[in-house]
Amino acid sequence: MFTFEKKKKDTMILNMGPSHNATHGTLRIVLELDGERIVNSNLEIGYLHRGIEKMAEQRTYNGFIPLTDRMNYVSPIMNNISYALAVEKLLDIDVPKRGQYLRVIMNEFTRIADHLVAIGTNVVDIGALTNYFYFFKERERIYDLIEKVVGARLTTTFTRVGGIARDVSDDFGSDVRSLLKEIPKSINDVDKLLTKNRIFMDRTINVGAITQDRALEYGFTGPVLRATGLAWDLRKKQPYSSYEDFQFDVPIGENGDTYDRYLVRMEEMRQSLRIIEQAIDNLPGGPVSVEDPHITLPPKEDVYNTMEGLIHHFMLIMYGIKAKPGYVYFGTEVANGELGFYIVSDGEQYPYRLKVRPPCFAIFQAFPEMIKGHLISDAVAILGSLNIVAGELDR
Amino acid sequence: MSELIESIKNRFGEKIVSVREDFRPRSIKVAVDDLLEVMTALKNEEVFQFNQILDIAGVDFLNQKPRFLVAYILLSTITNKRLIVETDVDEFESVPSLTGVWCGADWFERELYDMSGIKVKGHPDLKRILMSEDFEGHPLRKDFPVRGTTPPEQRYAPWDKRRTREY
Repeated sequence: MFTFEKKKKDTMILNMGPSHNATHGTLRIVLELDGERIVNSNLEIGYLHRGIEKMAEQRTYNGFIPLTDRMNYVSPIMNNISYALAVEKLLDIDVPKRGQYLRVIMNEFTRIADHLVAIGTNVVDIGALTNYFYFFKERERIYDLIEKVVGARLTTTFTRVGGIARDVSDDFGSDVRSLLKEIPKSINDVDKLLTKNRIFMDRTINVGAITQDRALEYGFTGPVLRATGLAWDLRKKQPYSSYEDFQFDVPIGENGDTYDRYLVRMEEMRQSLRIIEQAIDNLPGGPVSVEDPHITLPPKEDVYNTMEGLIHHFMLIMYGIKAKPGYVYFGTEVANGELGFYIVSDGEQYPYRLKVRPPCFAIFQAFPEMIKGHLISDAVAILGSLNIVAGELDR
Repeated sequence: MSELIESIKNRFGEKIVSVREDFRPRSIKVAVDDLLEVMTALKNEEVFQFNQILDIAGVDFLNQKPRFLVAYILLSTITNKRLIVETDVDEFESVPSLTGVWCGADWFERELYDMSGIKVKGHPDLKRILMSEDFEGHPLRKDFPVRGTTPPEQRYAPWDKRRTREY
C-alpha cells in the first residue's frame, strides 16, 4: 500500500507479514536489506482494527467489558481490571477490600501467563523449543484456574463496574497454593536452560538495545522501559487496587536489550508469585462488589423476592450506570506497560468518548530504530521480546 | 489549588485558558497557537519535566464551535505527576505537531488524524495508520455512521494504477 523508496542501489526489499510465523499477529514489516543487514524498515499496522473505541460509544459502561477481553487476548483479565478501575475512578467509588484482593490475585496470575507466553514464544523464534513446553504447561494450569473462577478461558469478562462478577468458590485458596508450588519449578527449569546459555546470550545480548532517554521519549512503559534501568512501575509509584499492601521488588535491567527484557520478565514472574502469596494469606472476607443499587446488580434472591430488587435490576439492565459529566484518565500496569483508558462522559449511560492507550502502540513505533543495523534473525528476536499483541495494537 | 497547577499558572499566565481540578488527572486548556510553546516548556523546564507523552485523544463535539477537543495525556516519571493538556480546534484547523518535542508523538498524531480527521501541521509523515489508505471518512467523528456502509471494493487488476496493491 505504501511506497517504499530505496535509498541505495544494491539494497533489497523484503516483506515480512502481515501473516508470518514470527510476527505473532497480523502486522506488516517491510525491510530494506543490504545483504542480510537491515538498513531501513517500514511498519504497517491496522490489520486487526475492529473499531473498539467506536463500539464503546454505543454500549453501557458494563457492556464494554467483554470488548476489553479482545484487546490484549494474552492477558484479558488485566484489561478487564484496568477498564473497571477507570470507570470506578470516574464514578468515584472504591471496591471493597475482598474484591480488590481477588483482582490483585487474578491480575498477577494473568501477568505470569502473559510473561510465560512472551518469553516462551520469543525463545521459540530464536530456536529453543523446549522452554515453550515447560512454560505452556504452567500457562495451562493458570488457565484452568481462570476457567474455574470466571467460567471462560480467554474471554473472561472478570470484572464488573464496582467489583467482580461473582465471588470465588471455597477451594480457591487451595488451588492458588498448589499453583504457587508448581509455577516456580518451571521458571527455575527455564532459568537453568536459558539464562547462562551461550547460544541464547549470543543471540540476545546487545540486540535491540535502546537507551533510557529514547525509551522515555517514545513513551515506553512496562518491562521494556524497566530493562533500560528505570524502576518505573505504577503498582509502586501510583498504587491502585490495594497494591500498597504488598511487599515486592521492581526488577530493572541495564542495557535495555533483548536479554535484559528476558531477565526482567523472569524476575517479575517471581515477584508476582510473592504478591499472590501475600494476597491469598491475607484475603479478607466480606462482599466483593460495592453495594450500591445504581452501580451493581442486586443479589438474585432480592430480584426474585422483593419489589425493590426487581426494580433495581430492571433499571440497571435497561438504563445502565450513569456517570456525571466529566472525564477521567486512569492507567494501570499491565504485562506490557501502561494500559490507560481516557473516558469522556456527558452524563448519559454511554461513554461519550473512550480512548484506549495500549502499551504496545508506543513501543512498536520504535521498532525500526531498534532493528536498524541488525540481521533479519535479530529482528525476529527483538519483535518477540517486545511482546507486541496485535489485538491491542490495532484495537 | 494544587502545587503543579499553581506553578503552571505562574509560568504561563494568560496562556492558560482554563483549568479543571475536579477530575483526575488535572487538566489545563491552552489555545492552539500556544500549544507548541507550552508543551516544549512542560517537557524541558526543571519544574515540570513531563518526559512522556502517553496518548493523544480527539473528542468530537459535533454541534459545538470549535468542534474538536484534543487531549494530550502527559506523565512525568521524575516528579511522578500526570497532566492533561487540552486544546480546542475547529474542523478545518490543524494542531501543531509535537514530534519535535517527544518523538513518540508520531504515531499518536497519525492516529488522531486517522480517527478524528484533525490535521497535524508539521508532521513528518501524516497518513492513516489503523484504517486502510483508501478509506473514506474518519470513524471516530460523531457524524460517521455506526453501521450501514460497505468498504470500497478492492480491485486487483494490475492495469488499474490507483487501486493496485503493491507487494
